[in-house]
Amino acid sequence: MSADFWDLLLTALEEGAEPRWLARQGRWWLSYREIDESDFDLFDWAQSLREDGFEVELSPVLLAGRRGQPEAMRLLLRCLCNGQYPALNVSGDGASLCLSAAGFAAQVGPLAVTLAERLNAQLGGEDGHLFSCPCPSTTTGPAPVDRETLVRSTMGDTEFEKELIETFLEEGRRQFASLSRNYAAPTLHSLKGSAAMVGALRLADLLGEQEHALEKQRLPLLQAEFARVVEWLEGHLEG
Amino acid sequence: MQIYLVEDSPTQALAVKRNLMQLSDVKIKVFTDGLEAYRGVLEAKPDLMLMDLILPSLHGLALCRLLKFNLDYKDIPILIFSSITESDIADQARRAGADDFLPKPFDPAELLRRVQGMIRSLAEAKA
Repeated sequence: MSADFWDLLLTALEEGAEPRWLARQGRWWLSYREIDESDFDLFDWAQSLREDGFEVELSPVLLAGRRGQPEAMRLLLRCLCNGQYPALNVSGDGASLCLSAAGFAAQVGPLAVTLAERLNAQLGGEDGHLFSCPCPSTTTGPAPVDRETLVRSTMGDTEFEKELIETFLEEGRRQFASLSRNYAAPTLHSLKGSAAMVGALRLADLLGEQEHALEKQRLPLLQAEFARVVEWLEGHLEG
Repeated sequence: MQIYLVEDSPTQALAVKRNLMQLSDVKIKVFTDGLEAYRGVLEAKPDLMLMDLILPSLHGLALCRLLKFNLDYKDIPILIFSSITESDIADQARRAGADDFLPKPFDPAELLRRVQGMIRSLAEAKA
């Protein structure tokens, strides 16, 4: 990942003041929305990156480019390679940009931290704009799994606990793959119950919210929380 | 005693089944689909049923109503459990004919108590 991308992003943000205002000024921005007429360019770029040997996925994050900035779009698409992409936190005032360090390659993580620092220096403080890397949820807040709930579900039987965790991990992976194809309430509902069973209470809450809201753009958030749960449970199994 | 458990989530089915295995002389058969469970009952009538509500093919409430409407099966005690948060879901379950309702997430010990209670009632009814 080159430093050029970050300079480009910073330049665009500096000129546009903040991510949301970028949209009004017709500049490129990160958003969870349906892909608009830019999508043909988007898929072409994604395809060309694949042909270059990158593993590319298109996330629900919309990349809308100012016409004439294909290079900027291409560079931003590179950010999607191997699941490394900025997550825009649209909750609250909608102006906090959370750059997730989870899954970032070593050379990208430090750049993301630098970006967050520079953005904070320019835009932070006033109006509550905060840019943090890694995302606060990955370093603070409740643990992804509540041990007490897990012990209660398994009645303290460690062998059964192992079996239950393995079953949940398999079910979770399968259901998230299903959600990527079809973001359906029954799947969210079923997974919610399973998450609660193993003590993944925050994940269960998020799934419960989405069961009613059905906002597919929130899928990356759910996936990120599931990744935390997986990491915790696999670590727990290893002892 | 034959118990049918209708639950499409492998994790939840495993947890419930393991919990119920604390009961003596119990065989538990798991169905992951409402229609499949209904067909299962037609093939071999269980002593007791536990079911989730959101199921593939046939919703738990519909399954419960079908069974309770059938003279041959209306006496099967049915416990419904669900994490549906509608305030009247317990009433809906009872109106569908369920003998008991347990909201999820539930304490495994509570589930066991409820099932033991249903088994006792069955035994008393037979005596």
